[in-house]
Amino acid sequence: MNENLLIQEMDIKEKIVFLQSFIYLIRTDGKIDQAEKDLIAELIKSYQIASQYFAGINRVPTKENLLNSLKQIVPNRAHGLFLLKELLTIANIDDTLVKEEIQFIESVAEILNIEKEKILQINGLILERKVWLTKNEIIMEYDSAKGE
Amino acid sequence: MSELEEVLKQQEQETKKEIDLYKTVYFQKDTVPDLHATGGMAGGYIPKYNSILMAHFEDEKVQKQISKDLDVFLQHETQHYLNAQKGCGSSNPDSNVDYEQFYKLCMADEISANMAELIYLREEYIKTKDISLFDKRDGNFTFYKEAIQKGEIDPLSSDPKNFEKDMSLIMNGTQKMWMENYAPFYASNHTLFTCCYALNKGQNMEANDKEYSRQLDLMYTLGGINFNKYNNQDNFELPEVAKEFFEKGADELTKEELLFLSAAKENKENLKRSENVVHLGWNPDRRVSKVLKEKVLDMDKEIIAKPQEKIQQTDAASDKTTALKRLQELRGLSSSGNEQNIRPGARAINYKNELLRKYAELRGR
Repeated sequence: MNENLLIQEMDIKEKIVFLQSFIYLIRTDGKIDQAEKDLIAELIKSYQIASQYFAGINRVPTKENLLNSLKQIVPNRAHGLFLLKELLTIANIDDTLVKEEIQFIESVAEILNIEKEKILQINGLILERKVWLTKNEIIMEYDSAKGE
Repeated sequence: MSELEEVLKQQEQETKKEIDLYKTVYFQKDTVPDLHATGGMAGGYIPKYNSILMAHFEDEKVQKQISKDLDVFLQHETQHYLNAQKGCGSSNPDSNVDYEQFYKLCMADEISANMAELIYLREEYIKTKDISLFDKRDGNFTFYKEAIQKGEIDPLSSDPKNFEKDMSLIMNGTQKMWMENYAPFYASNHTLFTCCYALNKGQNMEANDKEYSRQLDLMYTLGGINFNKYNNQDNFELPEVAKEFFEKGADELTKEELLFLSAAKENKENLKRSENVVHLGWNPDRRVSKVLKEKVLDMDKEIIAKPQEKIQQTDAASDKTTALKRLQELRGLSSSGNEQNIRPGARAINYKNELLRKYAELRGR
């Protein structure tokens, strides 16, 4: 399954609730810096959202309302798993999972009836990729300091 | 902390550990005609500059041979660097040990660096199962290869008894190999270092077993294992040439030995300037390249999997294979893998910030 195709088959409501979940996760530490704003912009871009919806996306509901929306809108398990993968990817960017991030991801999984074991497996995939990226950098002699 | 949080944190720690096993080593290259110019050395850790110097030989045949094993040489020189950082071995003029102990610590420094080479090759063997890796470095580690072939040890095994044998062979086999192949070759250098040490101290030093053992423990702790526990010291005697040197009176010294002392005195002057012993032979100021860098295993980290960990890793390995297939499937990649999609693409893309770059790499679509 190509994940980009999965995004393409989402309707606008689902894309918005996905993106609001990402923003909620990014904001769990209570603040949002420029780099995080850029990341949100990139996420919105990758979900191919028309600019008319931007303001709506940024009005992130409370955790409870967001979880209720996810329960109503996410159509199936495949999309739910994909959402968890996206959330875990974002949570792992800065190399440290914080308690609030884990709690939110756990709540999302619970509302979508996805087992905790699955969270661990998906997180394992992402960490596996981190190791892969490090080894790739070494073997291919890339210099991350130069942005390679 | 919830159960999930606990397990996720554990996963995170294990990954950090795996990513963190490497350290970047910086070095320079010095162009020299042949091995004669370096006294037979392919490279060296230069305490004066706290840097590693590798020879680049104009003799193409020699250079080809050396280049083939560059990764192993760098692992070796990095170990000298690590030992020096801990105040051990030949680079430590402040050791409070007697001269014979100092000489032995110089030898242990070399043995430690050779053990780092073997541990590196062993880790590569665990990954690749390629036993010919132990043929590198002119067959110095043939003893280890043969032990695997004879079934005496198995680095892939999770049996604790096998592990003990394996660790003991890394320590005692390397020590034996080094004492037989290299101790006479290094005798002149180590005698010189000891002379420098003696001149620096300017007095007779008493044996200090505690300090001597402390340094051995530090130098022989590699990859998370204290190999000194396995050290039977059977082969760890001063080479004959060094014994003779130590036993002679000043009037009995040969012309060559007097030259040594003279060189040592010269080094003592350097010592005053740099507070470090300077290697003779090479001149690190001469025609050195720009600073280069490579990654080597960080022997200060827990690299060697202990038997219990190895069982867990075997289980994890099969999970990893499944995970990798699933990852490729999820990303819509063919079994051969579309590297265009998954390699870090920053060579072509300028990311606005580090967070975006990391996200793009991690996401991999």
